[in-house]
Amino acid sequence: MSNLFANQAPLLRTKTAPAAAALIASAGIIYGLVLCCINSLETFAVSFLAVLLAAILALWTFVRMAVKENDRGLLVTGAACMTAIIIVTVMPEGLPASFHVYRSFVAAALIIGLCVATLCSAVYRLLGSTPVAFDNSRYPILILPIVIALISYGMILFVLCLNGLPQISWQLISTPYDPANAALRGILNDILGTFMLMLLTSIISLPVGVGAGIYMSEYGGRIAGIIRFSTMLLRAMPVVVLGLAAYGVARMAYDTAWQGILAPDPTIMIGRGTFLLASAFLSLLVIPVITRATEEGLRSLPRDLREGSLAVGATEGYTLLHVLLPWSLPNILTGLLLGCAEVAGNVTVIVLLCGFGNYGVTPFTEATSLAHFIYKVMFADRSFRMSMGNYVYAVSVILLIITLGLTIVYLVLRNKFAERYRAH
Amino acid sequence: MPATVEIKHLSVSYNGTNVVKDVSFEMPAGKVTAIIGPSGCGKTTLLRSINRLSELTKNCRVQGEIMVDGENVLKMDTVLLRRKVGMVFQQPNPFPKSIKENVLYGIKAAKIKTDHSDIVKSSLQKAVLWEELEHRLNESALNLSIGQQQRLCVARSLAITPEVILMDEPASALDPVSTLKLEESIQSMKGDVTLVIVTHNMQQAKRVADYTAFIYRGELIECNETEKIFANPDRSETRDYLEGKFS
Ligand SMILES: Nc1ncnc2c1ncn2[C@@H]1O[C@H](COP(=O)(O)OP(=O)(O)OP(=O)(O)O)[C@@H](O)[C@H]1O
Ligand SMILES: [Mg+2]
Repeated sequence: MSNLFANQAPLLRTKTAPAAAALIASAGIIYGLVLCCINSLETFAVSFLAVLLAAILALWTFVRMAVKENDRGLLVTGAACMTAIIIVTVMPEGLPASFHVYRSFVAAALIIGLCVATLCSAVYRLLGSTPVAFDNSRYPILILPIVIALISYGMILFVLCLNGLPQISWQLISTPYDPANAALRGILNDILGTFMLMLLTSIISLPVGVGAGIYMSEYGGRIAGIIRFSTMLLRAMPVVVLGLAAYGVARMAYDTAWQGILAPDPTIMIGRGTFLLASAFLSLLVIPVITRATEEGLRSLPRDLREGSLAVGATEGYTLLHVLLPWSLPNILTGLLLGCAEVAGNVTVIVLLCGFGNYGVTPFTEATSLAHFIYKVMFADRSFRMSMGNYVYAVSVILLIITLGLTIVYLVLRNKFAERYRAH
Repeated sequence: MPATVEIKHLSVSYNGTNVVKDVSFEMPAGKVTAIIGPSGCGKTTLLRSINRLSELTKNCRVQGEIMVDGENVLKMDTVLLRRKVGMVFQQPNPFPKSIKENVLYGIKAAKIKTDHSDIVKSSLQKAVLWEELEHRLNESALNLSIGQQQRLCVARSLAITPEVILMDEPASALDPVSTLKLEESIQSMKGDVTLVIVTHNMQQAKRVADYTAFIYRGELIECNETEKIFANPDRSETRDYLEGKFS
């Protein structure tokens, strides 16, 4: 077998064609992305596609000469590129303004698709046309969606912070809101309320969820089937139904022994609920998550470890506490984090229960939360909208910060437990 | 105190298929008994029915009698039984805890009040591990080499001073040096505890066992003193197996 490159011109050996194709394709991806935002750049689309076509053909020739291979994929890409040129040229222009915009989106989509395909081929040839190079050359396909998602996240964050950060002040986050007192115009109780909801919901749903998870993985049988079915049902149920049910319970609690526990004591409006009631209903969303997480953690325990514990004469209960639960702690934490995120962001369940947070934050006072604040700005009374309406972005940013903090704490804890109880 | 294990007409089945068929033999107190036989002949099944771990397998059914120290195992409380009859598994399975906690696990589970450091030391010594690990007791057991882990598992089952220890191919994951150390620890336990060891390694059986039982297709072919089995077995199947004529 003689060296494939032996008779080639130096130009081909230096892989100019694949490098150029890769560059043009990368530039094209960026161009396509920008095109989605700046539609007038569309005037260059046809010229760019022509350049891309030239690059594809050059690459094909390179492959033909350097590796003596007829790269059919490149030919297909080239044909697609021709088609794209025709489509973009004949698409109506000069009609209503929106057509102009549509055409730029079509051009962007075509350009991005073609460029990703070309980039893959070019990288494959750049890396030496080996099987490993083929695997590595598929990364553009994986990375592009991630990049697009990150850019979108970045833009959302940017918009939120741009609008929200300047509004955040110590005054805002350290003062509660009171409709009766114009000096009290802050969101302190909404912040504390969000934490109160997370705390109470965790306290309620941890034992229930972990217990159900243990039962399902350890005992199985018909009752486990029933539990599994009902937890799935809970997750599948339209959440607004829970919200209405919570409202119903709060109404029923009014003027009974439960007032003061489920319905707030200084009732100004029948149907408002306490933090405890809100948390109880939020738990219905969180319990299935924790149950599933616990069950999966327990199921991933190696059989040998459980048997090892039983074999030295530990009871099932001792094994559960000292082997099974430590093992599934990282999973339980994951469930708890997802649950807390749910609680922090949920409005639907508590939408009818919450007030303005002007009675303080204890389990037995009227519920309120940051997520509900945004709802209140849109739908609550006019004076609230007038005084607090400007702070919606600030509240969103604070919610983001809280969830970010939560996630960091979670990651640290989970890694710590995973290292301590699982290792390897 | 080591105890005699007597197996009388033991039959074990999975889903109605008999894999141990009417096996009867005795493992004398304080001695090492090796169980040998080709793969799939039912050695593990037999061993796991002695400490009733077989019950964790849903479709497993055990019939017959197993007497430990004259008491029928099948009528005992499983937890009390397993405190008397310990087990070392084929793959080392230390808990993801410190070395010390691993050794003390059984003691703490049984809520026995004793001097912990004494137990750690004597158990690790018998498992030929004390010198290596004396200063690493609070490290995670998962940092140990596989061979050390297996001896730690031996120490773990020794700590609650069982009467019997069952070992299911304890050296199959170990290199030759670790295997020798494990055998050394088996020698050091002799007399204090009855040992039952399943092995695929004939040389190992020869080296450590006082008695050897040969099982083939779920049936006990022959059980006798190791020297006798290896030098002059009564049954032709045993000779064929030892000479490697089938596996
Ligand atoms: N849980 C089970 N369900 C059904 N059949 C099983 C189960 N466990 C083992 N068996 C069967 O029982 C027979 C004996 O298995 P066992 O594990 O006792 O063999 P072994 O002698 O220990 O083999 P090896 O030397 O390979 O470990 C095998 O045929 C096996 O397929
Ligand atoms: Mg086996």
